[in-house]
Amino acid sequence: MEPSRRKLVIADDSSEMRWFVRSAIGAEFREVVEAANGRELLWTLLRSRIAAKDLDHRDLVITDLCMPAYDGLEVLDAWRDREHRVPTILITAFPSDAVRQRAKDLNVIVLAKPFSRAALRQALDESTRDRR
Amino acid sequence: MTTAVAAARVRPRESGPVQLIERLSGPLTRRSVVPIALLMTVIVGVGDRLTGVELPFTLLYVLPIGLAAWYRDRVFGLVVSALATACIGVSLVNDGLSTLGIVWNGAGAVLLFFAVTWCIDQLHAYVEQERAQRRMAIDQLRHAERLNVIGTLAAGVAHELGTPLNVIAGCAEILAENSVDPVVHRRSAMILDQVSRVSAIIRHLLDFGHRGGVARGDVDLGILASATVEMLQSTARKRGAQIVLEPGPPVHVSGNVSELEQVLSNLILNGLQAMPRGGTVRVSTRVENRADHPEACIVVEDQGHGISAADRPRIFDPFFTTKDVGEGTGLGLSVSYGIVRDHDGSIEVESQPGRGSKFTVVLPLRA
Repeated sequence: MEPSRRKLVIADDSSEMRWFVRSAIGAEFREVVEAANGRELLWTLLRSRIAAKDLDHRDLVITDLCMPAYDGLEVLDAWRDREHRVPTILITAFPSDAVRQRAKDLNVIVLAKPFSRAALRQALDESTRDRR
Repeated sequence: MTTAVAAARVRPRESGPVQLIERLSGPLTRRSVVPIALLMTVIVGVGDRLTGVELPFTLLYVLPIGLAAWYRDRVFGLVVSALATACIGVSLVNDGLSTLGIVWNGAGAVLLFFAVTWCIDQLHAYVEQERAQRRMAIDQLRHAERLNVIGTLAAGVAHELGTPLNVIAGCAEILAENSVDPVVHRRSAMILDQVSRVSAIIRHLLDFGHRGGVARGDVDLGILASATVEMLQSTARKRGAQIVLEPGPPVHVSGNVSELEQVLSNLILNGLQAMPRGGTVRVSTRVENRADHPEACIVVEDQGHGISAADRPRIFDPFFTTKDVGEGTGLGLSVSYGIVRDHDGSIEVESQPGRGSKFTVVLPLRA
């Protein structure tokens, strides 16, 4: 059966973490793109836009907060998904109130590490719910 | 009773009369006491000349006054002074001095002794008090600085640990999902359980390192105390102990209810854990006059094993615990300290090993 969702972008500087996310929800997407740092994530996002294949509600961006080059929130801020159409999940170890607030401003769901596969799937459902 | 105070508010006084006295007190207590005593002796000597006493007798005052002032010991000084005065009196009587002269000399010596020792005692006490305050302030600053360093370090370590913990838990989940072996399921459940335990410890540590930004409101410490005591009563009963809340007037502070509740429950739980054979933890709230203004106080007193002098300086340090393995993480008091510090307050500790400890949380009253 063809997966219902289109593209999954996973950004985390830990390859094990990217593997974990991919193994948990990768099967639900037609394409999975990995980024090992903030710069790669930003380029992945911008390249889609330049190629007129901008991400939308059928895609999902999962990014770690602490990464080399740019952090997850900086990239999301620079990317300017103003209409908040793309489901986005920020994963971070033990988020502070400030991080939660910034994520809320960007309409991003925060998932605290360590999280289970079930929690990740739940966050995925939640992030896609109101974005059409 | 020995007291270790870990107060967050620090009020070092850097100027004014205190510094002047401190500058004077060093030489005063060591080198210049005898010259001062000599000077005073000269003053008495002038009186002696007027009443017709020879100079050598006057010089005899140097001995009691000088020694008394030097040692600053009332009993010793008094004995020396009395003996010297008696000698002078006897010799004066032998020389056929007037009654007025004898009275003048006797009273002069005694009064002078008391005057000098009193002045020096006062100065000494004042300076000692100021020095103690400054020492305490420096200790507190050092402590706070150490905690800040530990907090920053902990935050860094915690963030680094987040990913591996996640991967460990994830792998355990996957192993369990792909296996029908009940042992694998059991073991992976154990891994997940331990991971969540490590996460809880890290979260506590981060709570300590990253505070602030939480909603504040009017908190009645009396209501807070009764709610917390109520909540912990069953835990106390299980341990064969009891918690007694002493009724007090309403005490209002500005703060975060859940944080302050965490502080109080930490202190009560510590008290309960310090009493393995049971006993009573007393909790009271009141307004106390401290320094120059009234402040809100929560007092938690236990009848436990107390805190040894060696442990006392470290009880607010993260991961410091004297409890058995599994009883405590060593974060309760340091987290409490962080919370109280954020509320511009302080935690004071009094403890007698073998008899119990008394923790007092001091908070500014709501304006």
